[in-house]
Order: sequence, then structure tokens, then C-alpha cells
Amino acid sequence: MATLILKATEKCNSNCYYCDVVRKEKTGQSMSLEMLALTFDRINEFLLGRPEDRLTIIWHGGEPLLLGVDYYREAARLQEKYCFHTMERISHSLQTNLTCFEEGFIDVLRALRIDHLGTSYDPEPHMRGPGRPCNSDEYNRRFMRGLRILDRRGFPWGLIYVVTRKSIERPLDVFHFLSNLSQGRGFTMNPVLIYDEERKDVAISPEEYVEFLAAIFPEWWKHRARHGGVQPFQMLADNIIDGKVTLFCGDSGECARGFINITPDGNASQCGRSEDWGLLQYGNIKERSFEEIFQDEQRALLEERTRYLKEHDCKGCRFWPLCHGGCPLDGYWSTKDFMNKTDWCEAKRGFIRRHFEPVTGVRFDPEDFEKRISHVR
Amino acid sequence: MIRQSIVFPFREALLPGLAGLAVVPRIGSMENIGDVLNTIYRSGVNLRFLLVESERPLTFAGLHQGLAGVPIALEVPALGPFADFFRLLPVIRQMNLRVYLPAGGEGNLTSLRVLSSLGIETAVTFGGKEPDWDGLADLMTYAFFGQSPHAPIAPFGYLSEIFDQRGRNEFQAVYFEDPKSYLHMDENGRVALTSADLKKGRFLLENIAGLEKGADDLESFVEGLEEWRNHFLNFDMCSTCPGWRTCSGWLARHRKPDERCRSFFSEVLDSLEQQRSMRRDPLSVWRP
Repeated sequence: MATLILKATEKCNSNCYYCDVVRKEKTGQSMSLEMLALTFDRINEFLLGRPEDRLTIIWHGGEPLLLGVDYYREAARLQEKYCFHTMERISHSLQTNLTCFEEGFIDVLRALRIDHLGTSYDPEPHMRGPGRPCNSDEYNRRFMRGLRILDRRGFPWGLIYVVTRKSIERPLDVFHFLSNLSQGRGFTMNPVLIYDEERKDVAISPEEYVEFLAAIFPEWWKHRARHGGVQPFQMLADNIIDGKVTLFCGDSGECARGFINITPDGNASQCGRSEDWGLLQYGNIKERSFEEIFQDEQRALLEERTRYLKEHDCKGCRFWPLCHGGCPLDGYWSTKDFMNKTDWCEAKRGFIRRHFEPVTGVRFDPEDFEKRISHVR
Repeated sequence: MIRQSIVFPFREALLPGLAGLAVVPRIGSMENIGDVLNTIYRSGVNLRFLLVESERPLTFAGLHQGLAGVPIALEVPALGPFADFFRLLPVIRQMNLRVYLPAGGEGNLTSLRVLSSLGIETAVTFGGKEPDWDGLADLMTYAFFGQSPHAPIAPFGYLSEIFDQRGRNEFQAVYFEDPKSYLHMDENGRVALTSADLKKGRFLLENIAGLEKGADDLESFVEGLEEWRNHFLNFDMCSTCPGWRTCSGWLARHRKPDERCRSFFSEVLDSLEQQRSMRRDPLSVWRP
């Protein structure tokens, strides 16, 4: 399964406090329809060469819905034109802030077979919205309007919440807010990632993230049927207790050959962050096929990292099968060397060991999990 | 087509405009109730029930044998003397009645339990004096788990019927405030989504005739149904409440939310889940 992160536009109508996209040196570019046509052509070529494979497109930005209803209508047409024989093996998802969502998008997104929208929200004021300080009142009103349309039309959505210093003051309040709003759909709580000094006021340490999760986990565990699949708890429960194997990209140890990020002008890289940091750049899709990009020799570095960490930094760690050293970009950040495990290692390990296992009474069995991973692979 | 019942202050002049519709006339007392009923029956409206907002206790509210079978929602401040109540009981038992008692009234939580145990439908109302939250929690436990036969106590009985573990559970229909089931009309014929909107002058329409095709297509109607979302514009006592699914912020219309109501509705939610699991896995009782 390949994943294409399609940065269809770098424009955004919000100025979220912790977001890196809005802080990039802005080009304000959006992907032209010609480039979009080429992207679908490349996807088709890739899937024809791999008859057993599938590809997921994650529409990302900026705010991808700023491109408008007509753009997505045209995207559906281009997919049908260029991927007529492969489109059954293409799936889509879209990450939006919902603030410019309108009724007209529903049918167009369904035509593109997008059947679920990912969105994000912060209950704390001034974290999201246009302007500085962020006008969260305006943002929130528009977000709720978007949700209203989705719910009225029965269009599924999921929520991501970014855990910041503001969150850790009231973990259970944050949790209940998100659970009440999402009504059993579940949601994801990711730690904020801050890479500059200017916004250190909202940054949190891995230990603080653990404490945030720890304050919530007993409530989720006791009432998980009520709250639905809240991440990262659900995934840990799936993997450790329920005999499933589901890992995020950064924990899978397999991101090397599975991901491609494409910018509006067709530049390919490993993922959104690698593009932002000028790392793991794989050329332009005007010159290279997806197959060539997936076989780029730089990707061997990521595979080598997994092998290296297993024998060095992570040797003997019983949680290795659950994280494989974590996201390579997280590992790179502090030392500027990929051969490091993620800075968030203690967050995951500490949470499982000190909170997940004692609360659930289930100890992670790495050998059993490794067997299941091999079976899945 | 109007599918809601219209709640309105009883005025004969309003009835012609309501012909064919389900109605809930509001009256302040049982005095002249015979005349009121005759007027209603002659007018061609469909009487859903009478909403009687009495200032007298139940025993002195004017219930009598002649009202047997007439659907009545009776709001009273208290039960009244027990001796009088028990004398009236045979009459009450013949009636199609639900008694509304304020949770904050002295002795009312006990009265609600007594009425329920005697097979009389009741409902707890909020607003006015602060309830004894522990006592209310006891009443809720009785309503959900009481082993002896008893009549439903709203909103608990209602919540039990509609309970959706992951979704919102709105019980305001118990108080005729759910625009999906009830619309409110003032003495001048103007229509609003709720009685609170009526008081604030937030009208849906100036005249019931404008509702010929129903309310569903009116933007203000749709927005009214979605008002619960406004709680999530703020990071406050309601939006962060662990029991929000059972209240949906409804109580905030009557009192400032605080830890007491949060704790109470959390317990309601826990109890609803418990009751649901007991229904799913009924306890096997050993019998000789």
C-alpha cells in the first residue's frame, strides 16, 4: 500500500499558532490542473506496474478546500480520465480545517470517492484562526458550520487535537470536550511539534505528553465503549490486547518505501516535514515516475536506520515492535542524523510501561506481536 | 405539513387557525376546564394534551372524576397533604395524567417517588430552588433500578428509552421544548421554537399559516435544532462536562452550570450504561 500526500495548495485561511505550514516562506502556490493531470497520470503508470498494489491519496495543504468545488470536480474527472483502469485501487482522504466547507463539496468529494474528512479543532482560545492573535471565535463558528453540514448530509469525519502547554493544564476537560463534540467517532491527540524558539510557550516535553495521556487514560479505558476509538489509546489496545497490528507511519518501520509527498509544483519528497526541512527530496514528477521515486536510493537510508537502531539504540527494548525507533524525522531533529531513535521514545515507552500496562493489567508481549507482524507482512 | 404539536396559551380566538393540528393548550388552572374542553373539542383541533400550570398543590389542583381519560400534563409546586392526596388517589388513578414537580421544592423528591410507586407518571422539573442533588441522584437510581413496579419518572424514564451511548440524548421533549416535536405560539399567534424564544421575542414566523409546508425547510428552524453546537464554541462547564451526553446543555437554561450538575449528569450517564448492560445481560436469579 502506497500513500501519496498531495499538497494541493500551500494557501491557508487560518494562522494556527503551532502550525509550520503558515510559517514557511510562502509561495502561496496551488497545484495547477495540468500538474494534477500529470499526478494522476503518474499514479496510473505506477499502479499499472504494480497490479497488486493500492494507493491512498491524502489531500493536504495549506487548506485544500480553498481550491474550491470546481477544482475537485475537475480532479474527479481527471482521475477518471487518467486512471480509468486503476481507479478502483485508489482511495482518498482529505485533511481540512472545515472553515470554508460548503454544501457543494459533498457531492464532489463523494464523486472523488472521498468518504471521510479529517479535521482538527482546539477548544482553547487563540490557538486557531485567522490573524495574530488567532481569531478563534470566527474560526470556531465557521468550523461548527462545516460540521453541521457534514452531519446533516451524513458525511463521516474525524478529529485531530494537538496537545500543547495549554492542554496539559486541564487534560480531562480537554478530553471530555473532544469526546462530547465527536460523539463516539473517536479522535486523535498528537503532541505539538515546535522547532523554533519563538513558540516555545506552547511546546511540551515528552514527559508532559505522557502525564497528559496518563490523566486521561483511566477514564477512557473504563468508558471506552462510550468514547470510541481515541488515539493513541485505541491503537495500543488493538496492538497489545486485541491481537491486531495497526501502526502509524512513523512507528511502522516501513515508511521508507511507502510514502511520497508532492508539492504544488510537482516536487516529490518523503513526507510533509521532510519537504519543509529540505530533506529526502526525490526530484520532480515531471522528470521521474512514481516507481523511480519509490526506488530512490535515499530511501535506503531509512531502511538502514531501522536495521541500525534495532542493533544499537533500541537493542533489547521490548517495545521495539511497536515503534521501530519512531519517526525518522523526529530522530533527525536534535542531532541532524537519521541514525537516532525518536526524541519521543520515552513518551511512548513510559506511557505503556507506567500507565497502559498497570491500568489494563496486560503486559505487552513482543514475541507474540512480532509473529503477528510477520504474518501480516 | 406540520408534524409538531403547537403549545399555546388557551385563547378561543386562536383555535380556528389551528384546526387539524395537534395542539397543547396551556391553562393556568382547572377552573372552567369543562368549558375549555368543550371549546377545544368543537374547534376541530386534535388535542394532544392539556398543559396545566397550576400554582396549587396536586391535591388542590382541581382534579375530578369528570376528567378521566383527558390527557393532562399537570405542573404543580407540591403534592399537598398526604391525607388529602390519598383520598384523591382513586380519582387520580383513573386519569391520563403526568404530574410535574420541581426538584427543588421541599419534600418533592419523596413525593415523586411516592407517586411513581403508586403507578402515577411523573416528571422532575428544574429551575427555581436548587435541588438536593444527592436526593435527586437517589430518585434517579430508583427510577432506573427500582425493583418494585413503578411508573416512569421523567426525564429518567425518557432517557432510558432513547439512550444512545455515543450520541447526544436530548430530553427536553419531556418539557415540550423540543422543536422536532413541539412549537410554541403566543397569544398573538406568533410562532417560536421554544418557550424561551417566545419570551425573548425570537419568532420563527409571525403566523402559523406560514408553516403550511412544515418547518423543516426554514433556515431558522434548522439553526434552532443545531443550537447545541454553540456549547462547543466555548471551553466551559457544559462543553467539558463528563455527563454532557445526557443533558446536552439543557440545564444551563435554568441554572448556571457547576460541579454539582456535572457530577449528577455523569452519574445519570453511568446509570444509563449500567441499565443498558443489565438489559443486555440480565441477571440470572437462582430459584428453587
